Amino acid sequence: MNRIPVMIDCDPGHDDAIALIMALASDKLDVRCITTVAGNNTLENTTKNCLKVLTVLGKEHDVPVAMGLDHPMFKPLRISKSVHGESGMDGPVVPDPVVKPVDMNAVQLMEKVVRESEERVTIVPIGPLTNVGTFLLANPDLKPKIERICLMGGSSLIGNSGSATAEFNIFQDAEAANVVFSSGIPIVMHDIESTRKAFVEEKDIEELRGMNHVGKFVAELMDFFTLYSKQHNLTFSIHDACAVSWLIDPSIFISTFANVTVDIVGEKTYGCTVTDFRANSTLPKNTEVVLNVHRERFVQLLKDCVKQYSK
Amino acid sequence: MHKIPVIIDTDPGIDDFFALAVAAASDKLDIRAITPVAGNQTYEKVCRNVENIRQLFRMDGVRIATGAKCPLVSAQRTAGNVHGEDGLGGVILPKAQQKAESTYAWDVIYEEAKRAQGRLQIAALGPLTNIAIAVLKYPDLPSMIDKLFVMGGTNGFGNVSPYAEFNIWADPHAADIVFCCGIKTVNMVGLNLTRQAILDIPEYRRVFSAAGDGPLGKIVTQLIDYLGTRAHGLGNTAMTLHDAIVTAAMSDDKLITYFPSYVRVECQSENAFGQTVVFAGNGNRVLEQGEPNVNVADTLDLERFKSTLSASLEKLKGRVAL
Repeated sequence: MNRIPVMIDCDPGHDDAIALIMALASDKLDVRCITTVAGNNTLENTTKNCLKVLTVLGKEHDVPVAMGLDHPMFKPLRISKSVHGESGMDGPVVPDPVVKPVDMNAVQLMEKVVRESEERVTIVPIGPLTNVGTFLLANPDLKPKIERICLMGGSSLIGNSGSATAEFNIFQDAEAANVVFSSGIPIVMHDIESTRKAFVEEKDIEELRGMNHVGKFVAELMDFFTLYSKQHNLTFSIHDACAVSWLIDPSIFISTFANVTVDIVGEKTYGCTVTDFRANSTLPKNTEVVLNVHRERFVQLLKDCVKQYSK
Repeated sequence: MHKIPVIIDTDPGIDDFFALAVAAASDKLDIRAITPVAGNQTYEKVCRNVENIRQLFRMDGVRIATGAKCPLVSAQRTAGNVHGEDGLGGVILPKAQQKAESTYAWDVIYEEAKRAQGRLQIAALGPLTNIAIAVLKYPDLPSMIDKLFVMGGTNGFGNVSPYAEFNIWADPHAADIVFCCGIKTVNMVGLNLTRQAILDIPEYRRVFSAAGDGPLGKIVTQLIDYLGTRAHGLGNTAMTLHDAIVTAAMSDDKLITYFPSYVRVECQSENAFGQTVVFAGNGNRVLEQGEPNVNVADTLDLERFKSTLSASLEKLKGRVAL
């Protein structure tokens, strides 16, 4: 079977790192490029963290990495040090990466990959949508060459990681998200309610720790990442890994189709992904909204991916 | 003296026609490219008008790029009621032999900015969609642009709503991105300035008599007739040519005076949507104010503008291609 060509746009980020680990382990996916964006932390740090992850995996020369935009289209950057720490990926001690990003920006690299690809390419955004939105604005002719956009972000029900009504990634750059959701390209939305259900337990973390050097890295990421969860009585969810897992095995997830628009006007609802679940809605169902996760199978897929690095 | 390398971003548009005439006639400006943008009319129509005007004025070697067909995030709204169904009041220009190139406006702007080595000036005469995409895609672009002239906004009252001017209102998000992107000189030529050039129709006829009674004179007369009829329909006897003031100002520092201010664009309010909020320092500073990012056009030397218009048409009249 042909591998699915994907471009991952990320802001590592603990859960971004685990998403990258899974994507680069899977023989279902062909990661054509990775682009970084400001979100969980500054662009400088998310890029450094991305290159660190690739270096731990020994894949730093396999995939081109390009730096994207260092602030949202509109609003000033609001970073989340409480979740991801000062560096944006606190926890594991990893030396500074030697490799550098390529000599073009994220939007230019995405253009190059899509233009050169014979097949349609899937975009996997797991940070704010600034790069992807800019890519779509700047390349209307390439939209037909995008298979789908499988993203982590949004909230179909109540929001609340960016504000009371909005999830962090969308809240960070709602205008860019608005561009993406109104692009006409099929979207799979792993919203915060569904990704909360994709969690590991302490015993899973310990199993991963003993598996190999990558498992140890994952466990050390989780050691830090779970501090915030414990403090706020949340599950140990690996949000961003859901978008990658869906592409590897969509049967792990349960979803439905609905119209989703992104609010950019409301004082209290800026960044809200307004999801129309009404049975009598006549709006176009532009988004596949993930509702539930077969958690054990998700965790098993994570372990299977990490095992690949023992070879 | 070296000519100034310029790009004209435009949505013709009757006043855009005169803006391009002034630029084409100028021996101080080196027009590197024209970048069409949807605005006064839909994209296909304004692009066709740009192609036809390039040929009419024999602007050989001037690139025409492919621009944005709709605003960044807001819904598209044109000004067909002002400029007619075709954007040029039904005035038929000879059909262009050469079409626009497929390269996007934002990529052409970046290429030309690099080529001009810090000297590029841009006249933005329509919604700021193309310029916004350019600065989003190329974060290093703002520092490469010498000056950006914007026909848009107002320090005072508007035209599409009490406080909003059409070009900014048509894509307020793009305008706010451009105003805040760090271009060192952004000159906002708003309605408060362009209304200083409101002339009645007989006065326009006197100014435009310089176009002669040949082919250019006939086209100009038709455009003025259309505007006159339209103005009359609205109960007015006078009108202005907003965009032409901008290209005239590019080669003439003495035409307009400006004051620096912090200017933002309202993108949320229902009643003030698209308003250019000019923090003009009246001592009432309840809102947080940033560093000045925009030069707000304030006063116009009207006689100077009228003679530039006349001189431009005089110069072009023997040059038009039919």
